[in-house]
Amino acid sequence: MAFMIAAYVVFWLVTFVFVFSIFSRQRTLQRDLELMEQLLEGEDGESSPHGVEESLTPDMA
Amino acid sequence: MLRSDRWVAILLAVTTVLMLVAIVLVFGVAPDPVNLQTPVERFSQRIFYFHVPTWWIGFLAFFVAAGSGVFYLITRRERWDVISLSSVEIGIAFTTMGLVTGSIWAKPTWNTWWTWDPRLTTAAIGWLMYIGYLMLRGAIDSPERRARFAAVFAIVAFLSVPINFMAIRWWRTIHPVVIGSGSADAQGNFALGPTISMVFFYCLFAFTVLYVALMALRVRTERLARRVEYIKQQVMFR
Repeated sequence: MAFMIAAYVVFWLVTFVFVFSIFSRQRTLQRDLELMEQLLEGEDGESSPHGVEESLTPDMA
Repeated sequence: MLRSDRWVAILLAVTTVLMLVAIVLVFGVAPDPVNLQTPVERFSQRIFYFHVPTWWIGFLAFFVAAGSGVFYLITRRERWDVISLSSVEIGIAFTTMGLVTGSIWAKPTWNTWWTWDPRLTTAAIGWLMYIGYLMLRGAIDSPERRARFAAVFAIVAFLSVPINFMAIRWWRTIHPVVIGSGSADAQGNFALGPTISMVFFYCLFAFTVLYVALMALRVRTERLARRVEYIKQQVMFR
């Protein structure tokens, strides 16, 4: 039974770590994006037209 | 909340429910295979319901990565590179789970954590190839070159998938073949009865939805990462 439990623990552990790492990266990027947009705003004196939803490079838009 | 966020949230909720139902089916509904005599064998057999789907998702993810690589080389659109990278990352996560859960199953069944059997060897080589994919990406600075090289690598690395899949059918191996007939030397084999089949195919379906949910999440993060990189370049070169 210990082997079965170990296998399922590994599965859920890796899955949660993977999902958590994606959310964590996303939070960091969100912060970076806001900072960059503030920098651009500061230089332009106007707000950036790009929202998070349009988070694409020109090629991907 | 953005529309895409709402869809990802719904997808994650659906996936959570499907995975919980899978757990209930595996531990509450699936019967013990009749040919397995000892409790240790019977308990470890239940690893199969998650072990095989992890490999299915790994193979599916690498197939999507190779297909995206082909589309990238044809169109040179960055979105295909995003899909390819995201899919490879998910594929590596799932094949890692597949290798580890397989090893845990092997200990009580084969009395060893690892053996250089054709299936295990091809699985390890395939896994290492995709680790190489990530290393290759990390070694190239130019985004266009990185995407091009990675696309070619993803296509070539995909050759490991059919070899891995067929290894237990082509060569003499101790790894069981659950669907179809395998080597006479296989140890730990069992027959797929109707209830075991139902639970197994349900798990395959639930894992496929999990893959779609993870792809939606990972692709969104990668797009965001590239947007941040793009704006950084704009800020730096002003």
